[in-house]
Amino acid sequence: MERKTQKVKSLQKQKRKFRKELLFLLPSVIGVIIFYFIPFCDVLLRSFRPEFGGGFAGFDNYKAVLENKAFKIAVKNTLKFVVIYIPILLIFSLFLAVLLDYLREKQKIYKKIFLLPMAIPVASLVLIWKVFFGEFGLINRILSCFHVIGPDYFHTSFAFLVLGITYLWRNFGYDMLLWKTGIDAVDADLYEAAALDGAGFVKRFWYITLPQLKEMGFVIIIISVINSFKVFREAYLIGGDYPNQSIYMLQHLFNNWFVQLELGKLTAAAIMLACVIIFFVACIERILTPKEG
Amino acid sequence: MFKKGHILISLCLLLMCCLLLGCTKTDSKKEENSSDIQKEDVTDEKNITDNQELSDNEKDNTKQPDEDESEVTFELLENYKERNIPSVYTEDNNKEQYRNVILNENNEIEYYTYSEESDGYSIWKYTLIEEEKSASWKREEVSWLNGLQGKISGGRIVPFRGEDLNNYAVYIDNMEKAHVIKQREDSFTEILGLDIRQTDYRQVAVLKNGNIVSADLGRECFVYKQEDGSLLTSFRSGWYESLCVEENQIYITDQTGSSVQHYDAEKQEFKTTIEADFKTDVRIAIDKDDIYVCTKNGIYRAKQDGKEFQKVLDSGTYHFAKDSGVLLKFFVIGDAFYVVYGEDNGAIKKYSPAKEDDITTKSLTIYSMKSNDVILDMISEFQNKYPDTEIIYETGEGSEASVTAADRIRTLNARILAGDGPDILVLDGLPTESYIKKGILADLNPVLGDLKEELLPSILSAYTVEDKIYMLPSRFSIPMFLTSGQNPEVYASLKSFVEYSEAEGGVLPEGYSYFDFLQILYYNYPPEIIEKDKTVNKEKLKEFLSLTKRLCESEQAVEKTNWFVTYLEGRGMDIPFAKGDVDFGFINIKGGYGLATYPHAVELRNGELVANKDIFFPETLLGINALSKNEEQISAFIQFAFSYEIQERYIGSSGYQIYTKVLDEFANEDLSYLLSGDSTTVLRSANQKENEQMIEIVKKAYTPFMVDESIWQIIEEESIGYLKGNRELTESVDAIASRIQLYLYEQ
Repeated sequence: MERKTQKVKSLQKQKRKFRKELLFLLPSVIGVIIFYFIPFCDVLLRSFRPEFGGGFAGFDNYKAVLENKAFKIAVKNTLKFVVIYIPILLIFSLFLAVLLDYLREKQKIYKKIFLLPMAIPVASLVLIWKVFFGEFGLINRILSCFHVIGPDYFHTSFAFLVLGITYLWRNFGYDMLLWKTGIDAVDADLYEAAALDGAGFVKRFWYITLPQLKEMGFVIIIISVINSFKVFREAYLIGGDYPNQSIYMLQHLFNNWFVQLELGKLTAAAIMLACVIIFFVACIERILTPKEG
Repeated sequence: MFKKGHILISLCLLLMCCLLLGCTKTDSKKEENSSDIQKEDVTDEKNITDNQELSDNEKDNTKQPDEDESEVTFELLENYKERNIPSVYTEDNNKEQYRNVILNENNEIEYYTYSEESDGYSIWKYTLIEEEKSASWKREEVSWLNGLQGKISGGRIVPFRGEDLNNYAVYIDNMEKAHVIKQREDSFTEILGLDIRQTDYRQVAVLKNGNIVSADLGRECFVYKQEDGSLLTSFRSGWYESLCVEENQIYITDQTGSSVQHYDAEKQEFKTTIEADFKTDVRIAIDKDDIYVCTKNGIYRAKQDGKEFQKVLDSGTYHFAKDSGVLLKFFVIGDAFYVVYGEDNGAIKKYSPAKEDDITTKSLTIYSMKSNDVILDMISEFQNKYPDTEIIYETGEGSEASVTAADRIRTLNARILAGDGPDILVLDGLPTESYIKKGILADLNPVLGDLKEELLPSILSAYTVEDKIYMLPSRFSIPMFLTSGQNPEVYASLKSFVEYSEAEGGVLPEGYSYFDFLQILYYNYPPEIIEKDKTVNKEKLKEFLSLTKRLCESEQAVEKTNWFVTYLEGRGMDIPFAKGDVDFGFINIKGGYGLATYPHAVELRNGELVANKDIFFPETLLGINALSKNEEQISAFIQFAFSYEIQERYIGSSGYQIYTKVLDEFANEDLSYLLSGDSTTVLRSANQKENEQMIEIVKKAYTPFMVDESIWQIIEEESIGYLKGNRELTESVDAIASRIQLYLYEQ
């Protein structure tokens, strides 16, 4: 009998605790519902409506998007960007984080220096690039001394390289910091034990550091992918609404569709993108999260 | 640890000290301010009580040199209404012409006109009588000028009041000499010895001490002695129209035209320049101790001995906000401002606080990408007719100049989709095709109703899509070729024209930039670079660019244009063409008066004015937001916009009206009495026959030339480098084709 009352009491306590927690969560839950969930539902509904008037359009908008050549180019470029530059960024920032781990004394100053690019406004950064690579930039002026007419680099396929370098330059410091936090969290006893067993630097890195960094790696990949979408700002400042095809991203297309009020296509493409990102995140999580048991 | 704790405590103490000091400083500042206010009050009281005890000198001494009255903050006036003052012209006196408007010693507005009689010119004075709800004019002849009738040339006489309270007039005689005369009872005497420059563009005033002030186009201000007409002094100044005198003080803009300089003609010294950043025409008025300035951006106020102007009334949708508006005069009477405009032979508008019965109950929102003079004029007139409707005019320009056209469209689209869009859209620069497709624009047919019968059928049909009219231009212009007898084959195609130019070594006016040529050729010989399958035809693009470059070379294009206005804004070249300096011209005729002297110029060159096929450039395209619920006001405004009342108004170079009767009336106008030119060539404006011929061409135009802004922007960005020789043709063509292709793929 006593046990039963104790159980009931603890259940009631848990319920009260849950209610309290819910109360604290409520503002943010309401915010998420109003500002994310409802608009997302609206977008989802619109994606199934015809361009003109009401009714149900089925998958017409999705079909139109998938057949759209601009969408294909934008997807190709966005994927190309993610596939090329995210691995480079991850590897490079991890390399720097490991290197920094060995520079114990001067770590702090290097961390600050590497984070500096994040503090530089995109507009000024693009301006600097234009000074160098613009049609009348420094490079072309030097070339003109040798009677060579240089191209407007931002309107050639070179723009993709400029965009990639900008992305790497801006983000490697931040990613490095995240990797470093992961490395710092690795139990030092593991390294000591491995060293006693005769493991060298490479083996320690491969068998201890890397497996311990899986969870952090998941976070870094997600952040890097999100940041790769932000590179649109640079692309827009370099080439405007219609840049060179090599740096034409999905955001260009979405922006331009909004100008043309192509809401059906726009919402369908947004839903597809959301699905791809969710699928991508799920895959990465599955790969990187350690299996229990 | 101990050290760290100490440091922490010291830092906290330091922070608290700073906070306390900061607070005390603010408090002391407040005290200073409040003591200042108290001081002022005390000083005022003291001044009143001790007024008689203080000598003038002592009074001067009490005024500190740093006492800066310009620091007075003037309130920004809100809820001011624009009202039309009835015109002085009626059916009986509509032959009279504007001469001047002044404020007399009783603070009444006096309006001067002249009428041409058989024996010369008669001068008329109209005094404004304002009552609570109405205003009228009292008309009388300026009899003291009667003796002058036959001596005035071309009606060029300007009567005015001197600060010495005498009546004066300045006139040009038949020998083209300027005279200043002063009223002597029923007659006048001439100020002898004066040698003011003979120019039609001059402002003359008389100071309280009788000395004469004159400013003209030379941007110099002169002060003459009345007794013998000798020059007392002169100084550099801004434009003559800004001249304003009070007693013996002269106010006129400085050479830059951005600030107002104050010259004390009694002490013959400059006082402090009142700083501002005026960028447009400036008109100055004095009221009590304050100086007011009216510009396109608003009305500004400063103390007469102040240092800086403060805006007191924003131009908003007022008439003076128009770029093409001509400000003639500006007065301040009490809390009201009066502005005399060049339109309608000198129209006056009054700006005063809204009265109780001015309270608006309805509202209407109008949007345009850029500020539009035709719309501003419509709004001003509409609000006079419908005072219960408040019009909110929004432009996409905003405060950030860097915002692109696409950004503006995105912002507008977001508003439209949210149901917060404007009621009426000025569609110039907006994606009209997409708006029609997506159902953003409503059909104008029900709104226009019977009014459609009065509008040009060619324009109506050009905008009719499946029996619906989604947009309609309020004005339009006609692109034309100015020829000097060339075979039409020469300008029939871009290729033949370029070959002709190369053979002649240049036929167009000098000083055109690369951009000018690109724009002119793109608008007159639009390349058909987009194929039916929505691909870019690189060959045609290549041909267009290479021909443009050849023309740039043969015409010696310059880096930066020497012309004040663009081709689309209607740049003039009549004089150089008439003189033979130019053999050919691309012109954009923007309305009846835009034809100006071109017919005479081509007549002198044995050429002709040829329309470019049947193309017209639409201006001020109006459309209705289909989602708007404000149907009653929308209907009223659209009908008003296309009514005779509004269509007949001449607003700068805004284009031809689409109201048939207005065009027919203009076809009967004989403007050949209007002359312009220089010392060697004088050209007359179009006569009745020429106007009639032009209106025939106007009525035939039925193909609207609509530029796709996105495509044009890409071509412009990628071509200039090639035209200047900094880029290879293939590179430019590839870049353009690639970018345009993206645009086409998106569709």
